[in-house]
Amino acid sequence: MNDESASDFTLEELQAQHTAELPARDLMIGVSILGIPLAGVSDVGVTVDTSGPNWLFGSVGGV
Amino acid sequence: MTPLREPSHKTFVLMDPSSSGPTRRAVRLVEGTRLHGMYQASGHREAPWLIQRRDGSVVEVSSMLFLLATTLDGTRQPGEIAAVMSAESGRRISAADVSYLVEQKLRPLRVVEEPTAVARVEASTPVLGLSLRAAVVPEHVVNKATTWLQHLFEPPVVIAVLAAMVCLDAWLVFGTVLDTGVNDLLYSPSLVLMAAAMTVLASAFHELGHAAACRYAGARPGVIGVGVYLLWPVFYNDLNDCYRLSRSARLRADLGGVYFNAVLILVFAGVYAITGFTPVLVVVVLHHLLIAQQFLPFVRLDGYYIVSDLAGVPDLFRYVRPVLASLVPGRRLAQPSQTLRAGPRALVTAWVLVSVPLLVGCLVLLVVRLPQLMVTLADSAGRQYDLLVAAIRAGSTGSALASALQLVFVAIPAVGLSAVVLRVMLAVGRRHGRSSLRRSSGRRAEPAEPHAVSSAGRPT
Repeated sequence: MNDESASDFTLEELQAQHTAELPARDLMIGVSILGIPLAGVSDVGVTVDTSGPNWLFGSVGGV
Repeated sequence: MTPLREPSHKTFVLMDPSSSGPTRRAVRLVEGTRLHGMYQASGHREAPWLIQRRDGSVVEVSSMLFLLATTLDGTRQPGEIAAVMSAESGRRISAADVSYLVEQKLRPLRVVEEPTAVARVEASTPVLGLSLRAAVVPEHVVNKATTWLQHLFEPPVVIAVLAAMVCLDAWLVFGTVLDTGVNDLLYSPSLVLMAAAMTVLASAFHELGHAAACRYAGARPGVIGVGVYLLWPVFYNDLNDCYRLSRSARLRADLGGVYFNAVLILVFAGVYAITGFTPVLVVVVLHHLLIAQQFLPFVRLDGYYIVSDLAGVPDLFRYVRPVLASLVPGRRLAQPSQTLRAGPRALVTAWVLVSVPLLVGCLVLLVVRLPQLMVTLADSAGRQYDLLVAAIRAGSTGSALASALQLVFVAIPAVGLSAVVLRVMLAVGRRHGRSSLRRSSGRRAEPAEPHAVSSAGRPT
């Protein structure tokens, strides 16, 4: 028969049992990409070839 | 995948420490509580175990507390539970210990049903967390939508999408015909309007990507909603159920959003190929920026969760203070950091040492540049206001709407920037005020111990 009052655990061990709330796992994306230049990255330039991806799409499209 | 155990909800007997003898009262796990098992690929020396509450939020506990939770089947008395736990753990545990752990550890986590109605305890707000959240797409709709979309994560499809993206990017990078600055968007009504619409579309699709990846791994994605993060409006997807997945599945869920952005970019490229409509390519470039932004690991964007899952540490911000404190000469490694294995500890330390100076630097930059930014915003707002008035006078509804939308876009960062600066100043002011108060009252600052408990609740 198990002795209900016997314990190998000290109070400190019981107190040290770990518990923690995990933060909500909310994966987010900003809907305001326009904020990027306003947040300090004001000199970003982009280069786009508008001659058309002919080698990729064949004769379809292109400007 | 981690096996899921659904506890039953019958009553069981627990000794009431406040009474002279054992008192019968109903104690059971809150209905809907789910016991997930061990956190996979943990960075801790002793991996935590996961319990999901009825509201979907997740708590981690020690293996002993998890074992205790599995025994709360509504049929056992504390002595019987103690016998089961002793047999499982190989160490004797008493009925009094069981009562202590239930009352002092599990009950504060709100996983044990209260005997009477008690005031609801609000969940803690995480550092740099999402605020003003509101669900837009219900959970069942998200799951229905991902039934088909999850197949986009089949390996052959992934390989095809990535190969097509490499080809498209090679063409974009080596092209030189159109050269435009991102700032031009502020002054280009039609482009801003189109970019705004496409950005909203891409953002919603991005969240579906996270949800589909979560579903592909066998977990259940939650709602998709909107909220405010730092200073920007955001879409979010509740992926709490992903905590129980393997590391590779969690990483797939983290990357699912940008993967879907890549899919959408290819769709836009296809539209351009068919129509030759040049501005679509500018949107493609903007979406590349969107993807790049998502990889930033310093705040809770996708990059943060990638680092978190690589380290096997669910909450990196919890280690900011301990890591910084350990840098003080003569100070021992703070307790939370001690529990990490060497590799994850190095990664977490590196993240803290890079993120903290960068976040502080960004804040300083923000404050320094605020006047200039406000001038730019005011200038842009003035132009849009003039256009709006002219459009209204001309009876042009479309132009008026475009101008109104751009005014909103200009106002959002202006309000957000001001709010961030104000919140930081208030926080610094409050902290300074508390420090002054403590100094004046001669009291020593108490160290933060969020989970410290009193020994008073342990029955003897």
